[in-house]
Amino acid sequence: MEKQPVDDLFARKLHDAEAPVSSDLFNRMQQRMGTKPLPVRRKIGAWWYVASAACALVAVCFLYLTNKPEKQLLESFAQKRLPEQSDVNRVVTKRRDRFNGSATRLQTIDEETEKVTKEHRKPGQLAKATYPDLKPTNPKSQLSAREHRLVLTQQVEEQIAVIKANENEKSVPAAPQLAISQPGIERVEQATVKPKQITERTILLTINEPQTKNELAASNNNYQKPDTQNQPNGLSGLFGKLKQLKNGEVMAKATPVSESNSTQKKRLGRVFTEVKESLKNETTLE
Amino acid sequence: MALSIPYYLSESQLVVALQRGEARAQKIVYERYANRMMAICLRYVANQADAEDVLIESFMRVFERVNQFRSEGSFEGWIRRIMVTESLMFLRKNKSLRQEISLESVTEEPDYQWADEALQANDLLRLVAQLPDGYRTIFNLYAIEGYSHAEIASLTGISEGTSKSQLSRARALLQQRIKTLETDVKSAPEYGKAAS
Repeated sequence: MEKQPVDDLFARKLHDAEAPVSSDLFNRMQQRMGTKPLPVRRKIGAWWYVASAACALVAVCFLYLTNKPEKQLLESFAQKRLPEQSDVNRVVTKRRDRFNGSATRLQTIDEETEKVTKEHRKPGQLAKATYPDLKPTNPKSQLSAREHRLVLTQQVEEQIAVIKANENEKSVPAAPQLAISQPGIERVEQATVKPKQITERTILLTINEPQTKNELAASNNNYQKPDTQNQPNGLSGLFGKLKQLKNGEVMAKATPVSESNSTQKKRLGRVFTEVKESLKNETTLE
Repeated sequence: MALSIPYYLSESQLVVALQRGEARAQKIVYERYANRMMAICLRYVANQADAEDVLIESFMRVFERVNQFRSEGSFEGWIRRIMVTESLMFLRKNKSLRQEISLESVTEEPDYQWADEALQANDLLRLVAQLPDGYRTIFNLYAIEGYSHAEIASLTGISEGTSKSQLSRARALLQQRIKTLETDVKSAPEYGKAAS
């Protein structure tokens, strides 16, 4: 007997067909077999997942409590660092007051310096100014007692000449009013000031009337006694030295006076001595 | 606590584990083949509860006789034969193989192409289940399992002639019910709308 289409239809559809079974069928079978039912398989994976999730949660909480999140940190940092307008105004006012105080103290220093230099101080000598009211920011700083070099500039020299011309009666020239470099209060690098390089020197000298012996003695107390032994002898030596000074850096200008040759020699010699001392001081300044 | 999750890579390893009597191997075999074997049991034993009983007995037989498996064929085919045998034994116990019913004359054959497309396995299984036990058994053995009439006669204890006649009647019944289904579906108004 051959197969018919109905056979093929059922064979094709039902050969590998499946039907659901009851969930307790296996346990019933085991009971019939007389074997112990298999222990319920522990859901190890689920427990592991739960344990892992709990550990991760604990770790996250620990990290959160110990270290704040970056965003929160940034916000707190921004809140701390962003100053308000009142803070800005307070800082600006404080700095302005400090600046004004510094300016006032600098002015006081200038006045003291001017006062000191007006006394009989020679150009090029170190001026020691003390500032007891100044309190430097750095406690180790030595700003309270600092020495400042006096800078002899061209203007100062001209001022010296003017002062000398005005004070004809006195033989001792008045100390020039020097402009010193203002010391920085908070800047240490300004402690030593380099003088400008002198390209041209011009000294104007005014020779006054002959002084009396007392006046000369008074002037010699303030000035170093000139070395008379090194003075040139004779007019030729004197003119030679003058010529040398002229060719060098110093030009002397003498007032025309009708004196004898010996008096003129003495006066010229004193002028020479003064010029020499001045040049020596300048050299030490440089 | 030691965690042992048996994992049998191949069918031979599973058979070896069954031969050692490992309960977990039995569980794996049951979970792997239960649904498919249940469909076989339902084809022979129409009742769900009886089919489950047959299924349990069949698996018990498999686990008891697994040492007789020689690995000459597939393990699934061996289990399937045990299921069929156990189903036949169940029917034989109930003496239901010799029932006969009167057939109406079949006028025309159904549209098999339509039946192949429209009818699912559950529908066909329901049609088979509606057959008398004798017709159903012979039809299953011959049409689906592929036994010859001689084998069917030896398995069921009936003659080849009885097997042939019951097969013819089973075919006629199935064709008649498929035709009825086809007529009912095609006469429904929804079918015309869906077809157009």
